[in-house]
Amino acid sequence: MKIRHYIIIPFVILMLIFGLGSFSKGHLDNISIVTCLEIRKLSGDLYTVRAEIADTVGSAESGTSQSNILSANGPSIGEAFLQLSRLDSSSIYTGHVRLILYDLAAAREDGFEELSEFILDTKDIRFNVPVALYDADSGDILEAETLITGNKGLDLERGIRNAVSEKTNVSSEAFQVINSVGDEDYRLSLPVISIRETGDKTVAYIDDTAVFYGGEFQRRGGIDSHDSR
Amino acid sequence: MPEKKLVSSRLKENIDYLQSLFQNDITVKIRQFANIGDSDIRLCVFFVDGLTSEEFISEDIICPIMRSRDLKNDTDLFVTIRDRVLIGCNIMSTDDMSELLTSFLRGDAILLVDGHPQGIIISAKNWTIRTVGEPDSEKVIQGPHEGFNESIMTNLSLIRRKITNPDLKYEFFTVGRKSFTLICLCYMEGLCDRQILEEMRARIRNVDIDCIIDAEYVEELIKDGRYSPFKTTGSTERPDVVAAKLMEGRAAIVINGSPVVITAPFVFLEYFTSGDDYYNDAYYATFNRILRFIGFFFTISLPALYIALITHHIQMLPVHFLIAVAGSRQGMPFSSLAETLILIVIFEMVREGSAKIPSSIGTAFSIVGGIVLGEAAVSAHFVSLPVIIIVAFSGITGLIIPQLKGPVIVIRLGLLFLAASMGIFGYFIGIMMLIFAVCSLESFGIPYNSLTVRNFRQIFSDTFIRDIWPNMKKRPVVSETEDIHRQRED
Repeated sequence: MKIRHYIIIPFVILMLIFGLGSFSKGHLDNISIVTCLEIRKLSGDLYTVRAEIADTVGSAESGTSQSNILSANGPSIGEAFLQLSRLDSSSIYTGHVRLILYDLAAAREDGFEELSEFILDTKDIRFNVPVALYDADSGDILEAETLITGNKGLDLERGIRNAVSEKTNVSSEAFQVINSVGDEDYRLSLPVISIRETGDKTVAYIDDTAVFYGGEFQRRGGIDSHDSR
Repeated sequence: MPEKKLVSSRLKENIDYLQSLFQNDITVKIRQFANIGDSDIRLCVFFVDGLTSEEFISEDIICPIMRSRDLKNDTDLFVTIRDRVLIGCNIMSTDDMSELLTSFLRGDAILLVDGHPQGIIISAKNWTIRTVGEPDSEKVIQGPHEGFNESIMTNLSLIRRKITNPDLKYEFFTVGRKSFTLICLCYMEGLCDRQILEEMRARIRNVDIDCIIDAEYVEELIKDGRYSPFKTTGSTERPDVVAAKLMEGRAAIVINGSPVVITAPFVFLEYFTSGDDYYNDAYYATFNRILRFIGFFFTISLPALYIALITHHIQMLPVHFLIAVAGSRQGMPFSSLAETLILIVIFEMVREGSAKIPSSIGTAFSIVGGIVLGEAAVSAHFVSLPVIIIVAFSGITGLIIPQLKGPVIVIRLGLLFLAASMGIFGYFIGIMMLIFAVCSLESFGIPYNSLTVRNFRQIFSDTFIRDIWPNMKKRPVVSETEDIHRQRED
């Protein structure tokens, strides 16, 4: 073996060091996968953030999608989310959030500035995640059932995207909500999720659409050709 | 070769020399006899028991000489016996005792005549050889089912039967300081490049090792890129493959005692071709060839990509897959990298074990090793299910190209460590290193990454796909020859 062949040894050592580093990394082992975030404004300036966290062990054992709910309050959405992340021993992973549910009353009253700041400040949330509104007075969306997998984030996201493809709704993704802030000409149509009783079940479903122009609430109902442009 | 020693004219001296060389060796037989008409005509035949035909020696060597009444004990006796008495078809004489010894140890009978300082080598080889059966490592469903065995002469005859052309040339070398192994260089004159042949001759002559047991010894001793995991010479146990490669302008090296024949030059693309590509229809052959490319990609990449994704890039995973993998990882004692490494090692152990054990218990071993052990490991939360699937799939796809099994395990582990340390970025660094490694190699002057084509049209002839025979009019470019057409041009 010539001298130049020994050059490979530092590379092998470096590779082993980095490789061994991944032994303790345990990234996938120590995360709570959030599939849906529900944000509600309580009285005054208090927000509640609730997260639907995929129950990976339960899902693996039962073969069906199962989830747990975590909830925390704070003076802002970001602060509430921070409190929520302290409740879980695993790190809260928001890279696979499939749906953000925002309080319809808060949207009508305050617009989307607070929500936009939260999305921009939270590292992993994707800008193409659908944002939907819900009427907090109608019931608890995350405690309701959905008819496909049982995971609200996954099922409602699929429903919203189907509605977009069937042109009964307009896709309103996080980046559009962010863009609408401060733009008086921006037309935003967000799906509204409601709850209804079906037999002995309480089911969450996509009800209709809330339309905002320049961040101001216009109306609730179906979309017209102007909204869908 | 042993040091040259001349044959003595005194028979007793020669016998004493041989007896001193093979003391206590009961396989060496020395038979002294005299002529029936003149007892002064004393002779001796020596041979190795088990390598020669005793019946031939008795009836065709001893009997005619012993019973001949016309022999006269004069200076012409030796020539008379050689040319007029012995009836064997392969006879030669020499005064070199070392040459006699070499032939004797290769199974020839040696005849010495008292008073004459020469010996006669008579071909009397007769030993048990393996039948010409289909090689296990290169089975085909359709096409020739014969394979080489350990006898060089049988192997050369199998090639000669495929190419009955005087341009098929055989050149013999003796290699191995102690073993004196016979090696034959085969090529088609007019098709094989002279420079390549010269280079091969030079490399064979440069082999300086005690003993050659198998073709792998020669392969490693003559290969380009000594430390590269890739072979720069092809190897096959099929005479049809050797014949086809000879007709493409390549050369072959046949080694006595090995059923494996080396072919050269060898390019990377040849790993993905198989003998039965040419015995099936072009569409099916092309499909199989593409499967081999995909299989190679899977076998080197799957564990690395899996580790890169679940340790560095979980954002790239579909959410359902992420939830499933995260669920399967819960409660696992080892990191993903560690369990992948452990499973790769276990898979290779099972593979190695099942290759070594008798075939009668091979199935049971595979079931216990593969299914039961894997199921138990998952149930015991020793390893996660996705890792078993990934490692098993990459292991199975690695067996699609048996000749690549050596490089594949090196590349797979290298990419795995790079991916574990740097994610997808590390994986692509590894892939680039692999491409550099392939591009920097040569095989007897031919670039290892060569497609062996003359023009763009030929790329679609016999490289990534296998075209129909009417379109494969030109030979691949492995040599500077003017005879480039293997079919009549339209």
